[in-house]
Amino acid sequence: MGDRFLVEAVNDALHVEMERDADVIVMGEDVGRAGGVFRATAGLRDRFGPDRCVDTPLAEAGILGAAVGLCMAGWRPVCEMQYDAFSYPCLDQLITHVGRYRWRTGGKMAFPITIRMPYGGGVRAPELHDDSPETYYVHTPGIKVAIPSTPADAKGLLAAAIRDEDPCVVLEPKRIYRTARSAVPDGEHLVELGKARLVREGADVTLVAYGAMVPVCEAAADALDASVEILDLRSLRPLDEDAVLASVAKTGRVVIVHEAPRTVGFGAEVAALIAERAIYDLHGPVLRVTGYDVPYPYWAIEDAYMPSAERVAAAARQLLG
Amino acid sequence: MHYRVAPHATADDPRAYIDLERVEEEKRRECLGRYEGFLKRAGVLTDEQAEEMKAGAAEVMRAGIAAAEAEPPPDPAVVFEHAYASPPGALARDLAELRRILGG
Repeated sequence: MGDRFLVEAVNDALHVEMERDADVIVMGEDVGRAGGVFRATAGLRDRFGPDRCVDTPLAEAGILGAAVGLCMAGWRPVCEMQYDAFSYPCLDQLITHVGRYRWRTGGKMAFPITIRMPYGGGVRAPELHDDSPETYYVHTPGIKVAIPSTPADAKGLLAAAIRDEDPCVVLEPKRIYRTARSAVPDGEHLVELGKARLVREGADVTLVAYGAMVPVCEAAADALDASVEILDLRSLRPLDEDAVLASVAKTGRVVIVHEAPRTVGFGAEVAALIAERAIYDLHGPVLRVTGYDVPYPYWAIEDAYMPSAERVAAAARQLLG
Repeated sequence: MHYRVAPHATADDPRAYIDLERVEEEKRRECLGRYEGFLKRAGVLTDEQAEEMKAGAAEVMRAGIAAAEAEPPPDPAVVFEHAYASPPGALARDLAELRRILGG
């Protein structure tokens, strides 16, 4: 078990899964000869050849549309969308076909497509390189969505998504692609979709997060004079409802953190779950610390948009009284 | 087909995916340069005029960059501006809360 950066763990997962299953192919813009703009697919073309690591035209709807056909022919495509906001042209394929084919064919046809993409802000990038589009994907029936926050989970969740019989979207927090470096199991490594990770145990307040907001919550917890529990959801669909409800039962105070805009963001779903199933466990309102309901701002001002440890800690203090 | 005259970004190494000899070939066929040559051959443009225009354009860019870099750090309110003609009330509450936290 060696230490790897998060993006290196993604690369490792792709190597291992392509080695294991000859039906797995990787396709996307610049994934082959260039090895991906973040180097996530480096080495795959040399190892597996240009027929299994395919440089596509700059056309996201075409990438996913081709993957639909490849699935019908028995392949297991892993599509890279080069950036979060570049994925929007593929939403038509995703919503009208990918999420529906199993249902449309009465369960006769499987669509084991994986779509992976770097997502989120905080890297001083230009417009349309910073979005957190998880709600569009989670809101689409038939689609599973996973978001790692550690190198080991980046490998395990991607591998689980590739092997899953349902179409999966894996959103990789680009802000922490090359910040934290930690141990990643060698060889085959799976993290079951739908199992949250208890980052830190605590008794007074629960911070619920995923992706690059997990380290923000850890910084907030360090700044608080309280016993703070941090739950990393890891997978938004399926959602580990039991883990959320167990933590609420313990602390009775919840702050949900995501960098996507607030309205109909995933925090609303978690808050609704808690309201429906755990409202009598609560000692106060469920609070959200999120991005604002505006387009992701230009980088000179992005720090004001992005949930900060200060904002998370302020929300927690409001609950702790 | 078009070719970039420089890497896409500082982290980009185009040698991984492009034939550099082909890029040099395309630089010789690049349309602005060809048009400059055409105008000079037609006697419409002199070398001095061309240099003057290029120097003038570079100066406009230099001045623009200097002016942009001299701007003070933007106010957090900029985050909330121009998303709507008539902003939902939540945006004003968000800005007030953000100011409170940044101020404290």
